[in-house]
Amino acid sequence: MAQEPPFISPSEKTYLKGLVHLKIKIMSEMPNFNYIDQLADGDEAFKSKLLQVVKNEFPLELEQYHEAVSSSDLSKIASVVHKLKNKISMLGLESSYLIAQEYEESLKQNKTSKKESFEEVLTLMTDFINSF
Amino acid sequence: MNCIIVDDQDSARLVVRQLCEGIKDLDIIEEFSSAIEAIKFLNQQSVDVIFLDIHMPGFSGFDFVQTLKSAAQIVLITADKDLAIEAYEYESISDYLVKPITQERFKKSMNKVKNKLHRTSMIQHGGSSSDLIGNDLYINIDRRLTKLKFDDILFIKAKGDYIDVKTHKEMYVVHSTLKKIKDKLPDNIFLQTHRSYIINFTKIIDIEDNSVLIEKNVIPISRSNRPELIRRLNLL
Repeated sequence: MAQEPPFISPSEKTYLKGLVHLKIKIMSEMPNFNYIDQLADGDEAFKSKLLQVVKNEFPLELEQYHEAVSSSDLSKIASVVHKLKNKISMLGLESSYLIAQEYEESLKQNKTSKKESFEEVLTLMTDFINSF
Repeated sequence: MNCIIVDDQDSARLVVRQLCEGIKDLDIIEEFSSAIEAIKFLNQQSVDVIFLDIHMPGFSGFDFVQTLKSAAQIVLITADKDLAIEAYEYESISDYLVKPITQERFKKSMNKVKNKLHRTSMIQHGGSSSDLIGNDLYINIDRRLTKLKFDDILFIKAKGDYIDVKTHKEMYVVHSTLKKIKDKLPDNIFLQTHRSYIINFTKIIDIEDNSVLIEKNVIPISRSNRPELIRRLNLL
């Protein structure tokens, strides 16, 4: 006998649709220099200095993140996620920023939702930062 | 205006530094990665503006604001949109900027800060460049010391060994020089427009090429004093 599909209410459907759209957006979103270029306004010296600082800072923050995760101290993780949000926005990752925000909020409520999505964003950023 | 930047992230400080570069008359005098170091600095030196990150290790931006004894205007810089309501409960917080900050938004914020600083200095009649106390000036008229409120003075005109001090109701003739009275007036309100005239900047009705109108009085502006007058205007 064929199994009946699980019942999904209209509001749940809307929520799930939203999640799928967000996921697609994140998957198609790539780190970029839009904001940094706008800020530099042709000042190449500033741009290269900022990129160098980001390149130096990001691995340290990434390390702090993994240390905090290993310690399972959720408020500590939230604090590092907060710090990483600056880099996420600086690299033009608008949808990923929302993920980071949700993850940070959930950590403050002793949950870890969006952890995997957030870590995908970190991988994306690592690849990008290593490329310049 | 002078300012300091307080943020524990090097990249964030660099971004604010770049935004400040785009603002005329804004000088960064120091940067701090620690809020405690910034507080120590501010106990020794006054500044006009503090760019402050809310989230810093061990000491939040709000702790900083509460500890601060300085009269500086604070511009909070944060990645959180949610703390704006709390921020506006503090009189010293002029603005709340959410990262990433655009140059356009930063400029708006600086205009807001400038206006607030101007209003504050108008009330205090002091400002960092003046050590005047109170809101008035005593002038010697017939061996009697007469009190004039700064705000009542429209302009002062040099006339040989005397000066005319014009208020809304009276014209006082005082044995003094323009240079002497200039040193006694708060320079955020008064401005020399001509070698024979000092005006109360707040009383200007309109400005033509080489004159300003204050009530019904036409005051000359010399070519050398005109740029400073124009610089002070909140021009649209």
